[in-house]
Formats: sequence, C-alpha cells, structure tokens
Amino acid sequence: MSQAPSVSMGERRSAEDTTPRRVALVGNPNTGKTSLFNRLTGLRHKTSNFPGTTQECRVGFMGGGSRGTIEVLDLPGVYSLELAQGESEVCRGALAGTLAPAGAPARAPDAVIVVIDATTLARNLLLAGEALRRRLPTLIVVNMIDIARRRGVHIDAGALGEGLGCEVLLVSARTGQGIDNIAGVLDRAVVPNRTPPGDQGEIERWAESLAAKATARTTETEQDRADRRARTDRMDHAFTHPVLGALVFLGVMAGLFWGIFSLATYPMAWIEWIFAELGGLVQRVLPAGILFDFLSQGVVVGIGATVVFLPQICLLFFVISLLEDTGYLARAAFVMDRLLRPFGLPGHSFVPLLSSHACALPGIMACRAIPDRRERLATILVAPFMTCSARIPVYALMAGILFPGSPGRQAAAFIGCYALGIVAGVLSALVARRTILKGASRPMALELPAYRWPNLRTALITSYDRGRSFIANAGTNILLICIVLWWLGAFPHVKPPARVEELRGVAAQVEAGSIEPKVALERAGVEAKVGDGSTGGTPVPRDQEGAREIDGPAAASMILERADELEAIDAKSRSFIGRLGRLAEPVFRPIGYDWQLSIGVLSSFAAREVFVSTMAVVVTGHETTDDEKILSAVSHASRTDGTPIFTVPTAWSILVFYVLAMQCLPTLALTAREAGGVRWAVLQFAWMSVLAYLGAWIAFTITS
Amino acid sequence: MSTAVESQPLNAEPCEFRDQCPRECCPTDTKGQPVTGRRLSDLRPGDLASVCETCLDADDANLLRAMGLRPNATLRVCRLGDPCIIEVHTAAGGGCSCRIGMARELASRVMVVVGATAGPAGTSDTKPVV
Repeated sequence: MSQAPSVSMGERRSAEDTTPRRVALVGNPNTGKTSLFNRLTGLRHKTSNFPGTTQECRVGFMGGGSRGTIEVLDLPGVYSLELAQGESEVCRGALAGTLAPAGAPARAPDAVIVVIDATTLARNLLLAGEALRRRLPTLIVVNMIDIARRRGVHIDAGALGEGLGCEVLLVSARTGQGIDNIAGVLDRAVVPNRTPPGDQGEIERWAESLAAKATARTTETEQDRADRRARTDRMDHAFTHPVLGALVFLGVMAGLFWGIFSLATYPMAWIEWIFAELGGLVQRVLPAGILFDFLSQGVVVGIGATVVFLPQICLLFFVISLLEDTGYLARAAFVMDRLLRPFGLPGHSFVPLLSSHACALPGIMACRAIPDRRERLATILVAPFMTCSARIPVYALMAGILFPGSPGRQAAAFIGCYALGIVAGVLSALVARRTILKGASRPMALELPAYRWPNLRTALITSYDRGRSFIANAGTNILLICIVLWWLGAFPHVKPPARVEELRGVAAQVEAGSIEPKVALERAGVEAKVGDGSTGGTPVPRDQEGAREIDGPAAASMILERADELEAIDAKSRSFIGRLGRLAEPVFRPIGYDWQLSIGVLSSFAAREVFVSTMAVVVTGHETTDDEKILSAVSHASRTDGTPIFTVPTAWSILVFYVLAMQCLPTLALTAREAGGVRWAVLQFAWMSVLAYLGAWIAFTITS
Repeated sequence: MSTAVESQPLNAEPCEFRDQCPRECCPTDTKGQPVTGRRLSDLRPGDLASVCETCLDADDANLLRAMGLRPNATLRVCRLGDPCIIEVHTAAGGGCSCRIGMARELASRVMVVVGATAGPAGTSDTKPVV
C-alpha cells in the first residue's frame, strides 16, 4: 500500500486550462454503465470508434463540476483490464492515454469512474482494483443499489471507501438515486491512497475479502433466496431448452420483426410523402433545367433514400435494447449458438443476420455485439446475403414473369430466394472461417444477467443514438451515391431523336386543328385510350373506336406523352450509364443479359431497388412502377428485333443474380467502417459478385 | 494457473485432458501429485462444487476467471447440457452471486470438487454455503 498525492481532479489543472476535463467510465458488462452514462450526459453524446479497431466508444459531456464541462468516455464493458481481448486492450490504451476515440486527442483521463454492480461486488472489485493500480483520481460508483437492497444486501459505503482508498457512491442509474452527487464527488476525487496487489491470486483474495467486509448485512431469508433462484432456474431452463427455447426465440423474433415492419410502415410512408412533397415544391419553385433535375432527382431522392431507413433502424435498436435489458438476449444467444456454430458463427450473429432481412445496414451495425473479432468480421461479410426489403420488387417482377397467374409457385420462388440467400450466407461464413478468418471457434461463455424489467429511457437513448450515427455515417454516403447515380443516368444531355421532334410537330398540328385527331393518332402510332390520357389508361377496343370521339387536346396530350416516353428511353440509353450498359454487355451476355438489362444491373449496383424503375424507364420511358400496366409492359418488353427481353432463362438468371450480388453501396461503405478497413468491403463485393455471376450462369445454362 | 489444492478428489479417474492440456495446468496436490477433479459437465443440477482447475487455453481460462470462475470459487449447477448454467457464489454470500452460461465444451474442461465449501478465492478458508 502506498500513499499518494492528495490532489483532487478539480485541482489538477491550472485555472487557465480551459479544455474540458476527461473522465473515463469503466466497468464490467451488465453493470448498468450505459444507463449511468445516459443519466450523466443525456443526449449530449456521440458514438465513435477507436481508430483502427472495431471497438466503439461513446463520448458525452456532463456539467455540474466546479470547472465547467466534463468530457465522459464510455469505455467498452470488460471483466478485467488485463485480458487479451480487443475490449481490454482499448480500455488499457484509453487509461494510459495512448488511445482516444476518433476525433479526440489521446491523453490520459483526468479521472476514472469505476461502475460496479452492487449484487456481484467481489467480482466487480477485481476490475476496480486493476483500475486503482493505474494511479488516477478515481471514484467508485456502486450501481444497482436498489436491486441489492431489494435482495436484502446492504453495502457499507464507508467500509468500502476505506478499503479502496477513494470516494465511493451508492447509486441507481435506473431510478436516478444518487446520480446528482456524482459531479460534486468527482470534483474531489483523488488518486487513491491504497494500491491493490498486482498478483492475480492476491488481487482476487483482496477483492473477496473487501466485498465480505463491505457487505454490511443480508436480510433476505434463505427461503426468499431459494424461491428467487428457483424462479430464475425455471426461466433459464425454458429459454435455453433446445426445443422450447427455440420456439420461444422464434416467437420473440417473429413478434419483433412483425412489430418493426408493421410499425415502421407508418413513419416510412410519412417520410416518403414528405419527400414527394419536397420534390413537388422544387418542381413548383425552380424552372426546368439541370439545377431542378439535380435537386429533385439527386438531392431530394438521395436524402429521402437515407431517411426512409431511419424508422426501421431506430425501432430495431429500441426493441433490441429492451430485450437486452430484460436479460433474455443472453439466454437466446445460446439457443442460436447450437444452430450457427457448425458454420463458424456464434449465437450472437443471429440477431444481426435476422435484422439484415429488413436491411443489411442495421444488421451490420448490430454486429458490434459479437465479441470475437473473427466471428464479427465473418458476420459482417455475409450479412448482405440475407434478403433485404430492397430485393423484393425484383423478386416480385421475376416471379411474375416465371409463373404468371400462379401465386403458389410465385410464393415458392420467393421462399427459394430467401433460402438461397441464407444458405449462401452461412456457407460463405464457413469458407471465410476456414480461410481468411481461420481460427478456432471460441466456445461461448456469457454472463447471464438477472431478469428485470427493461429500461425505457436507455432504449430510447440507444435508438436515438443509433439513428443519429446511421444518418451521420451511412447517410452521407447514400446521398453521395444517389447524386452520382443521378448524374450517370442524366448526363450527357442529348438532343431528342428525330421521331420525338416529329411527334411533337404532329401534336402541335392537332392542337391547332390543322389535322384530325384520329389521323394524328394514326400518324403518331399511338393507340387511343379511355381515361385521363395517361399511359395507364385503358386502350379503346378496335370495335368501339368509333363510339368515342377523341378531341384535339386529348389526342395532342397522348402524342406528347408518347414523345416524352421515347425521349426518356433515348436519353437513358445514351446516358453514361447507358453507354456503360452497352460496354458491359459482353460481360453479361453469358448470363443472358442484353444491353438494356445490363443498364438495369449496372444502375442497381448502387442500390438494387432501382432495377425495376430503371427497367421501366429503359423499356417504357416511365419511372413510376406503382402501375400494374407498366410492370406488365416491363415483363412483356421486347427488343427491336421482336425477341422478348425477359425469357424464362433470363428471369431465373436475374433472380439468382439478385439473391447473391452485392448491389448496395451504402452497405459497402458501412462494411468498410464497421470492419475497420476498405479491404473488407472490396472482399465482400468481389466474393458476392463472383458468386452471383456463377450462380446466374448456372441458372441460365440449366434453364436454357 | 497451476494451483495446489487440498481438496480430496471424489473421482479416481485421471483428468482426460492431461495429455492435451495446453498449459500443463492440471492441478496437483500439496505433494505434487495430480489432483483428479470431476468435470463440471458430469455433475447433477443442484450440485454444489468448488473449482479446482480449468484445462483451457489461456484466453478462455482468463476470461472465465475474470467472470468469477476462480480457483476454489463455489458454484451451484443450475442447468446441465448445452449450455451449462452455473451460479458462482462469493465470500460476501447472501444475494451476491452471478450466473454464467457456457458451452458444454467449456464445462467439460472445468474441473471441480463436489460438495464444496465457500471461501475467498484461492484460500482454504471455509464457510458453509447452502
């Protein structure tokens, strides 16, 4: 035991030094450290990574001290600072001042708050002892004091402080009890005047003996304790049982995703409506031209495409946080571990993989919960194989082409696509774990936290945090990609073809009354339609043509619309993306795609959902795909030589290609960030592209 | 993590991992003779036991130790199979315990002595725990 200088954290800096003091928050997992961080910082925080690692750190600011704002670093939860795990390495570096979250200068913290769980004092004191050996001003916060008291465990803060040689506070982050005292006590925090032993065995004995001294009394009766244990045992049995546990898990996940899908529909519809209105506003305010196109089709569509994912992401993390808080997720991880372990993935991978069926972005973000680096990387790499909602329009179109008028077979095709994605994903994980991510699968060992009611506040803040992080990181990439895609599709501006000019001339003539509407329609090759003149109108049957007179303005409108369609088709085919489509045609020919389909495939490289709308523009000149008639026109489209674009082998080929291909630039951007390097994104793209091409070629060859 | 323990082995069979033990960590008694504990996975639900050694690689062994599974720590078996769930008691007693779930593979490499007594980890102090 050694004496230390008694300079408090508040006095360690000169009065001129105005940089915020830095406090590091360390603690075991499941000690309520995040709840405490949320209590201290509220919404004044952001999530960032430690450079070169996949470890995240939340940085927040709290007030209340004598020298202004305090910067709080929420370090990863660890059982010991001395383990050879990424989390422990990061904590060691942050406490030594050699590592800091991205954007913050690397310096040792001015103080450490060690959060310990009042209900497992002895084990938590081991970490506290390791932190005290760092010789930094330290405050020990004993959290969950309310739960401990309910169990009849009474902690003597004085005895604990005496043994540790530093300030000790008893708090409950859940109820807020004692939280207000933290800033004041932190100000007085000094380097502890005792140094725990360094030897592993000795520090364990020191922790045990201190815990025994500090646990003033236990008032819970043997019977109450036995009842509590029996209750927990029964729940653990049910939730980890091979059959019952799997059924419960299926039920919980079905409820979770049904809830997310159904609840997210409303905010997603509102967001789409808002962006449609914004597009309309741009249309009304700005004259037609490049700026108008850029804003309405590039920026507004880009921001809309980002924000529309937000409800799903926020809801997913909200529900996951609630589930995690109850203690259930730790049990569920064991159920899924049995299923995924043969493929080199841990049970922790299940939630990210399941989330990826909605969208790979939240799925990849959820991979942060996977403790082993190799297993985390393998899950990130294969998550995009899961069928996300953006693939559904393509599946629907192709299933319709393959099995027209047979909903049962269409449904079977859908299920087959989902299954193919899952099989390709888990087999790819197996390949990765046997090659580049080789290493023994770590058998799972997890602390099973006590069952308790979830904390709504923590869930809301987590959801807000994840949503903001998504917008700040992935969102900017998505916006950029949308703008680039728009540019490739919209440029270079070309003169309309002669046929378009001719049609516009005919329209002008019929409007002026110089030719008969019927003659004009015949000359323009446009079929007269009943309705408002839109493409979606019903063509007038030949034998009823005489029954309805088409007036001049209506005929002119129909001809002009046809001219616009032809102009859009021509512009698309001569745009940069169109030229790329022609250039890439030889590559895609072996899997059955002509230049038009190549345009569709290339456009959907950035986001696969644009395939159907791109094909609609290429084939019909209309961007909307809400109309059944346009989808039908796309399905039955033919080339100039009369052969159909979508044959059965082509449709199979496209279906397999879209199941396996990596066609989502935002996902690639997120993979690079979460996996800690662009090389992982490149590998993901290359592997999925090769597999998609091979799969499509096999499908095309077999069905041809 | 080689630890001398004074517990009387209940199982006469030698530890089956001794030949492949990655760290030659199989326990010895005070006379240097190998202690033959029982595998945690061989106990029955409800059994109380004391940890004598973990025949695991350093990373897993250190993680389990940091989670509370220290030499001489007293545990209660809550569930056997995959996962094996145990409740680790501490000297503080009372409500102070934590639950750990582990794959069967890990549980089969944790050697224990049944009918344990609780005491501060690594000591032979005894204090009955039920």
